[in-house]
Amino acid sequence: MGKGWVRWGKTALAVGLGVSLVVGCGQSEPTGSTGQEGDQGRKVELTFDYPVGVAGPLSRIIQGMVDEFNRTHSNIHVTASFTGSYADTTTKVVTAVRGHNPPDTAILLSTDMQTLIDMDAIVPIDDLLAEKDSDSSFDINDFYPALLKNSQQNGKTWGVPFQRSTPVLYYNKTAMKEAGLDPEKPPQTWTELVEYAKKTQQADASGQVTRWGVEFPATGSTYWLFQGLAIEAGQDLNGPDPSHVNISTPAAKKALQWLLDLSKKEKVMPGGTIDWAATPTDFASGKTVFAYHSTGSLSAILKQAKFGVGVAFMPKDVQFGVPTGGGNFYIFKGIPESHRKAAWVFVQWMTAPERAAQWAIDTGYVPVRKSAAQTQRWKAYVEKTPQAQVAIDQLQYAYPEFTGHQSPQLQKIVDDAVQAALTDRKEPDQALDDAQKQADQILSAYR
Amino acid sequence: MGRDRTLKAIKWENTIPVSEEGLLATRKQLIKSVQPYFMVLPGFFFVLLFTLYPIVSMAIYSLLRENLAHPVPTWNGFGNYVRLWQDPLFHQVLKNTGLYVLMVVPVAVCLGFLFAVWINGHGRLGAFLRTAFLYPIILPVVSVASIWLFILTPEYGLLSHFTNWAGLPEHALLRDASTALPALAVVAIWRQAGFYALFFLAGLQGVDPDVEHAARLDGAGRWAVIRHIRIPLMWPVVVFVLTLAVLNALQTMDLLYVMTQGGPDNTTNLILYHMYETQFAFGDTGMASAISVFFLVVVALVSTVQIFVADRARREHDD
Repeated sequence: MGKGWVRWGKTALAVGLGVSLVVGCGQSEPTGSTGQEGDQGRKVELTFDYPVGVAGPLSRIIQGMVDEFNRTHSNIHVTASFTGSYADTTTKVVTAVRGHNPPDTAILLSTDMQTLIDMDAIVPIDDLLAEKDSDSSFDINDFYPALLKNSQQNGKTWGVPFQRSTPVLYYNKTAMKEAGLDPEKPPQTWTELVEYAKKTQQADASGQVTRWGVEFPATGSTYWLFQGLAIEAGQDLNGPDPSHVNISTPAAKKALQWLLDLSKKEKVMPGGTIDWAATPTDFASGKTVFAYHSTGSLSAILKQAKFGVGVAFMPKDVQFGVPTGGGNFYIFKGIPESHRKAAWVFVQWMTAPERAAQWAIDTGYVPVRKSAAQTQRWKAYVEKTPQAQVAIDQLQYAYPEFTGHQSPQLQKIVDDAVQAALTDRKEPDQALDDAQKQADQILSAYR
Repeated sequence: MGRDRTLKAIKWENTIPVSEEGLLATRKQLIKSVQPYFMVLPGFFFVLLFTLYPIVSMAIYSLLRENLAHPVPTWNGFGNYVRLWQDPLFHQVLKNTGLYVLMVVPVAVCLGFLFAVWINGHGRLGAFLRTAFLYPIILPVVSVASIWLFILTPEYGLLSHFTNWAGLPEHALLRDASTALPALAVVAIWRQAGFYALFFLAGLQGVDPDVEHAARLDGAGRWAVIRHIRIPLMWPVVVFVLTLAVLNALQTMDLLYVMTQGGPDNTTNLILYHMYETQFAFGDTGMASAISVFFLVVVALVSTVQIFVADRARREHDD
């Protein structure tokens, strides 16, 4: 029963957050009023919306960080609102922007950048660099270049990487060892993955599979994981500019066919569309030996799993390759100047090296700054948990996440195509050709 | 009636020569005749603000091109409707919605009726049965959806425990394009049948027992009583419940939002969810408004049919 906790956890989380918000406010109020100086200017009240996109009690961690910020900044008070999934948060913020009532700052998907620019909703942070938080040594070049690809456009920086991830391949070391494989040598290529999956898969006497070889979820961020496969097969889904995409390419077709073969031909994966949220649980409870998922689920998996957990690059076909993912901080237009400055102080504080390192340790997200990976606490953590280093190493092969004008729609088109192939509704080639046509129709408005 | 008399009075006043008293009387009548309109004005204000204004502005938006590519609205005539007509996804959504209504409504309404007959026949047990059938409707839809999502999840869901125990092959109902929509329908039926039973129960208790006794004396069996006495006498209730069930099914949104998000590959995408996604995920206000207008027309048609049929049934009953 407890295995379904990811989903239950989300509900519990929402409730818990409500409580922690009340408690949080209760605590910060007195500290603020006893604040020493504070009275030369009025206290700036900031609103901050954030989603939780991976397994684990992340909202409690964020609230803790916000509380600490409020304690240490007597002239700014941030009210953090947990606003559901990424999609829910984007919906809420976009609606608020249209109603001319945006939050001061929010964490949204890095791929929402184009939409937010198209809506004229956010300010480039280049305009704000003069304002410094005492606690930070902000330098945009300190962030990993792979992460900045989804944060910069036309020479300007529109978002600050915060909870960023890449997909990785989780594997069950114990199961590998039992099957006579070296647990320190995870599969490097697609072929090896299939081979190892076959060796580790288990079935009962009647032929019913009791432990699958591999799970590749296809309900949540289907396009995201699939983009990784397409890159590995030779070509990224992103086009040369935001009004072009490459969905129907030989590489993508090869990738989709391979994905389909995992269940149809090789029989190492359950058929149909595997649930995104259930995959980490399936892996941690030993239902599958290999699982594709976000690095962001690492600490939740480590806490649950009762076997040796290995983390590896997404195996390559002709090359290694993964998209980056996750969320950036954005600062909105249409708020008072004082709010904009205060929001910028807050964002710098939240992404300061020590904090970025701690956040990565608590969650499994990538430490977004090079200096964060140099901190003592990160080094000590990697000493104990070498799995966490994989995502950083993989960044050298990282591509920007699939995006363009009207990203959510483009992403849904790819999701639908992959799901159509996995559920036998279309041939893989046909599904991708149709998807390309739909995408071109949407993007033609921007060309 | 009162208004007619007032109008007549005014006419009559106008025909006589104008006098001091005449004028005064006219004014009195006038005030009397407009007074009711002032009385409903506060109520009408809210209808205007929250119903009429949104409908009119939605109709206007459906004629404009306004989306992320065109943030400034421009005139588009019936362009959105044409695009809707040509959109294969919209066709699929309509087909899904139609299928869903056909799967949910007959079963939920029939089950509701049977539950009601059952409850009605039991004195003390009735109270227990009523609670048992009604409790799904007390739960919020989101909880219902989460519970069923858990039940239907293969590998560790309740259903899969059951199938494993019974030695049946495991089937991931929500992951399969051909079973996802029926699985949603089952959940909807489970939730709603008890609710409809409540209306039927009220209807059954309104049937005059003497009529039933008379029928039984004439040798009518249990089913004959149901077919020839109860259903005809309850016809208005039946029509009402049918309409309610159709509208409920058309408006399904929360179930699939939690359980499938319209997937896999749009096989569970229903019209309200599609409308929501078009506006809030894709930011296409023009298209979303066109879908809303279409939806409004469908809902209005269903309601009109209901009023028409119920009216005729009542008249026949009165005759």
